Amino acid sequence: MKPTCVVCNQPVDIDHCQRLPLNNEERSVIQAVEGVAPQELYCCHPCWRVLQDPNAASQLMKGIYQQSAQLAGVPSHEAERQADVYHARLLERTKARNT
Amino acid sequence: MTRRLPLATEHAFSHARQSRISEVSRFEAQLHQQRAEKTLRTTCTRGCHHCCYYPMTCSLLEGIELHHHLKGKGLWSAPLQKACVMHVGKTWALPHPVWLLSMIPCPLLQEGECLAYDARPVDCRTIWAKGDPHYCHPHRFSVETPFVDRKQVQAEVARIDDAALQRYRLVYIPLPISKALLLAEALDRGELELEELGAKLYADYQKAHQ
Repeated sequence: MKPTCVVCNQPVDIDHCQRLPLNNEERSVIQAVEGVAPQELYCCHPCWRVLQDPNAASQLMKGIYQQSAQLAGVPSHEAERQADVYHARLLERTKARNT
Repeated sequence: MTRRLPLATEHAFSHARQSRISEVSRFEAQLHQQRAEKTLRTTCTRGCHHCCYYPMTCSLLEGIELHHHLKGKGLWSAPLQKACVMHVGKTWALPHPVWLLSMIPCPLLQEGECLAYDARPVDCRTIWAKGDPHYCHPHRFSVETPFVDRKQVQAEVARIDDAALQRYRLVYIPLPISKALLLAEALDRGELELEELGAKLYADYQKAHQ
């Protein structure tokens, strides 16, 4: 089965994409959720360019969080509040890592 | 001063432009009538710009016209060109759902308003919200975000532009507005010829995935 991009879920060519090796902690989280964890994840170049932009990447992650919460049945105002908290934490962690 | 394309090309493009304008006018007249008859209520208001973060696209021809408009009004500037380059860098070949959630503003959005509102592409001109605009925000997008059906006008406009472009062995490709503007600028500066555009787009697309 052809691997897919971790962001857009489109099939990717592993020779022409960004390969993201997982550390043990990341693998165990995926293992716990999905039952099986791959050695690495793949990201297509168009999505990878978005992930390299701090504004667009954080907005994308916030958007995915909010949409997933809504799809899971969380009322939209609550999904937005949680997504805001998630976004703020994301920015805080990034700032802390870069200082 | 804008570079003029060969006369036959200018004529063909102008014909396509007229056809496109009449299609959109028909769509707008229909909308107006439905609003007057109270069978439709649109909720878009000035100042709301949620849709300026949507994956809006236009044809190469629309890009040429938009570029012409911006240049004619003295609005095509080095910062705008730079904003287009940055926008293309993020949106070219990007799947639309990812584009939508990434909140990438249109390069023409300045201080909450469109820099080229009067000359905006069909995609922007025909998007009308029917529900609560609160749900038009890209992150709140859901079934609660209904829009006026515009499939027919979009298909017709694509057919018109496709017919005009086929003379140059080009096909209608929906491009990010920034990409269409940069291609129009390259054509205007004589750095690119129409006949070379198909190959250039193909090469750019391949490059985006490598």
